[in-house]
Amino acid sequence: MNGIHDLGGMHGMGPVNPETDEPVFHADWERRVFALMMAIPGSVYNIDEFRHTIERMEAAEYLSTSYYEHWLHCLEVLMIEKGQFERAELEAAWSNAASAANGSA
Amino acid sequence: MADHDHTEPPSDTALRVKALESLLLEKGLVEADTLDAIIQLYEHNVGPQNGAKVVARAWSDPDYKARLLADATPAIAELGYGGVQGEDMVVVENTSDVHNLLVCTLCSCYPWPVLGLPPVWYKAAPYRARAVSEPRAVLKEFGVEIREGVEVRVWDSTAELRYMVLPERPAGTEGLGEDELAALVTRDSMIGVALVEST
Amino acid sequence: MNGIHDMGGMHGMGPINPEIDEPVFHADWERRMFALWTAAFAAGMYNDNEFRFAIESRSAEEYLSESYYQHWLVCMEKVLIDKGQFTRADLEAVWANAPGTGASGGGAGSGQALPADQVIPVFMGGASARIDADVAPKFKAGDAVVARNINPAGHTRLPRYLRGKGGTIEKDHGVFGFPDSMAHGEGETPQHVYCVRFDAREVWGESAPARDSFYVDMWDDYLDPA
Repeated sequence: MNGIHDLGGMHGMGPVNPETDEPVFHADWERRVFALMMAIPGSVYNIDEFRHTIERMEAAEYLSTSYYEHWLHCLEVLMIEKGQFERAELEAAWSNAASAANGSA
Repeated sequence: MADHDHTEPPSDTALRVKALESLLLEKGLVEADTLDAIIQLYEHNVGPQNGAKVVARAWSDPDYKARLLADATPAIAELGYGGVQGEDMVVVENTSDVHNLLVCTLCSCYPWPVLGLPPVWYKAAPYRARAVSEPRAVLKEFGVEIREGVEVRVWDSTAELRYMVLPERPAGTEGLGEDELAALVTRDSMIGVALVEST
Repeated sequence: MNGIHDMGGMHGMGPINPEIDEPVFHADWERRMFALWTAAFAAGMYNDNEFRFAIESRSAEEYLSESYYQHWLVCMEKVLIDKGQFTRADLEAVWANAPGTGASGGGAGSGQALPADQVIPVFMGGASARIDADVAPKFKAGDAVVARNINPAGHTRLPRYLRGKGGTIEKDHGVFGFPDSMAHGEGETPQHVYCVRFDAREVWGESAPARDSFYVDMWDDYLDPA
């Protein structure tokens, strides 16, 4: 697809901004997302399905979210599409996580 | 990099516009009455009702239609319409063999004197991206089914020419006068994303 | 520039979502913004191409997340500062004070405002972008041409989806200024603009319907003989 991910040759994308002494992960949730994606058995999805799920992100969202947010998006969308869980189960998990966070605050 | 001496713009867009307006008024770059007159003109006086009258005249008068298709700007001026964003007009005719569709992939070029200001969807990314690569699918979403033998022509307004579609006159309108015909003509039919219906 | 604005043929932009009975403006600030822009434009404070380039220069993320009239707002601020009509400090002074009170602390005005009684004659009269210059056309109707493969970082009106594609000159529209130079204060570079026809299959490949086509207006400097 001719999506926003196909950035080769585009102007106006801003400076490259390398980070000095960059850590492997920038937040604990990034660690978790990376590990989750890697831990899911290869029989559930393939690399091309993974890539295409990210490419299908809405363009503005693709540009405004970070790399591991793309992965998180992919995890949620692809697992629902693959029938691993349902949207309602994910939403219930969101509620539980929010309650737990409030309870521990 | 953060410069704390900078004042950030108001996060409320309405307030930021008001700030710009007050600055331009104070600098003498605009006048308040002028702003009101411009809004009145483009919100109430200029709109697709103008283009509809051009279409109705073309359907009713073959000589006028010939002039309109040959050189649209003076023909449109015969009805009293013209001006900014319509100084150099081209009218393209839908027939049983050809369906025309207008887009501006690069920004939002649109024929103001005959259609007014463009709708949000015309200016937004989805239409601009898709009108050129899958015009038939876009037309279908607007409820227009194009037969396979019909040529779809997409006009991408990249220069300072402005386009308007002369839609096909629907069957069953033979007895109607120009005012009645004009009432049938929609904005979307003059962009090319709709057909004119007889009722 | 190969910016996000040049979106002809891009996927993933979402549904079109036409609004039923859409109003001309969706908020009062849009009305004011439209009027401010057109009044300043009519007073000659900038040209179309300079303004278009300012919009194209928004970051892709800003371009996609801002609304149409928000583009006009931030770009009008920028262009008028660039043109010296007021300074960034003038604008910040208005932001810091209650906007609308007129307390900007700026200097005297330049007095080039368009008067209200000129709105109808100026806007209903218009000003054609045609240039009365004796420039020879490079092509004539029926000529086979190829859209050049150019990738300028500045403003251009040659969309990416047509670069390198072959078409046919349909009509010579006459002489106009060249956007690629006019956007950057480099003069009008007057030249002919043509309506060029491209077959849909030439542009999008074999999956496009055989009879479909594009008609796109192109300047001499965008075209080579085929």
